[in-house]
Amino acid sequence: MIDTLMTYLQFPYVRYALIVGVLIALCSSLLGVTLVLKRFSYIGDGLSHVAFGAMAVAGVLHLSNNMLLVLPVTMICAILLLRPGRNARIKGDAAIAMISVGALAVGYLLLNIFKSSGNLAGDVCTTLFGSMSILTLRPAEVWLCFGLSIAVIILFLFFYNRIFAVTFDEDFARATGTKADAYNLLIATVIAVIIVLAMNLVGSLLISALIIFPAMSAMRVFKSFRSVTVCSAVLSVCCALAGLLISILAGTPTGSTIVAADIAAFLVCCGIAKLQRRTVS
Amino acid sequence: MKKRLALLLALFLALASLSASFAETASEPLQVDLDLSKMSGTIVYAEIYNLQYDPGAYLGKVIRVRGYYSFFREPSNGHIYYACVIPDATACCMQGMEFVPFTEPEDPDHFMEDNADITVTGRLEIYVEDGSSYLHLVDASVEQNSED
Repeated sequence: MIDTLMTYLQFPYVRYALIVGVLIALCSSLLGVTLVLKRFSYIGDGLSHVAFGAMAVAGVLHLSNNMLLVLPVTMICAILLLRPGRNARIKGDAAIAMISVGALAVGYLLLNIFKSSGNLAGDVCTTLFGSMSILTLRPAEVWLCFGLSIAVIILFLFFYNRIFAVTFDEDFARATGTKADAYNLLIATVIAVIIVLAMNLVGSLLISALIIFPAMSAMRVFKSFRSVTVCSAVLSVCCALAGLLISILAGTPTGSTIVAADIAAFLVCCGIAKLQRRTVS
Repeated sequence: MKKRLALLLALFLALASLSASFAETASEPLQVDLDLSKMSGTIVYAEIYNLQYDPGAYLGKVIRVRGYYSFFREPSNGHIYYACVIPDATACCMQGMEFVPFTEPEDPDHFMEDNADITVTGRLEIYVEDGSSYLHLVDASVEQNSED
């Protein structure tokens, strides 16, 4: 098995997949904790469907780099969904559901009407489930993913305290002079970037798992924001690596194998939490 | 006279060695550069994708693939295309590799059962037809795999 793995590691696209996979997993887990605590767990799913719709439009327009359309559209939707909703006519979960299914339906409709390849089912399958797209990245895409991931990590570390404040008590943060709206905007922008990046790794239907599972697993075992964030990042990276390697060796679909690894980690963390409770009592 | 005999002998030897080397080439099994038949479905998908996206790096290499036999006869000119359909891990993104058998089958309709599990080994080449470029494996040997 080691020999087989070493053979596969000689292929540049396998090395690209491992690098990009680790970076995306790290980014998604960092913001995942914030989203789960802000009760926005499902936003990843909604935004990923928006990204799918935008990708379909980019395909119809024959854009050579679909990121030019997908990223701004997803960012705008993220900002609309995460802005303070007190005055909004359509509230929280309903807005996410509408944007989510609307974008998914329009995207699929456009792909069907303006077919750009003979294998429509394959194209849709790859975009929705990220079948193998992480293994077909070009060097330019790898550099783009690398740059955006590093930017997300730096932003998170730089604004860690503000994000922490806005996550736990937005009203209190606002009262103490923190520009909560600006930080919400930052979170929305970063989430949009992560969603677009993660589409390559697990596909648009499985992105939520990448955001939620590591955060929820870490919350079973740890209690402070910092320890949960660190544990979530470590778990996410380990699961992404394990999923990718299993997928490459066993020939299973990449996206769902990574999510299966996340589920396994969640179950292990639940077991550890139970043991911790028993030890305390 | 002796000179003529020597010249004839030399010519005969040259022809004999040429035919011997040709016979060797024809019967010699191809040295496989890329054996996709032994790789996981995930890697096979990625390799075929890369091969179609950037064929330059693969042209001239001897490639072995495993998949399902399929053939198609072009109604307009009767040309026959043989292909090895390669399923992937998700079974939604099947890829095909066209091949040209080393010896043209006498009865292409009964060359092999449709959807038979086959392994094809051939040299990757590019050809242009109606203004479009296509890839295929030439001088291909085709083996039917036993059901295991």
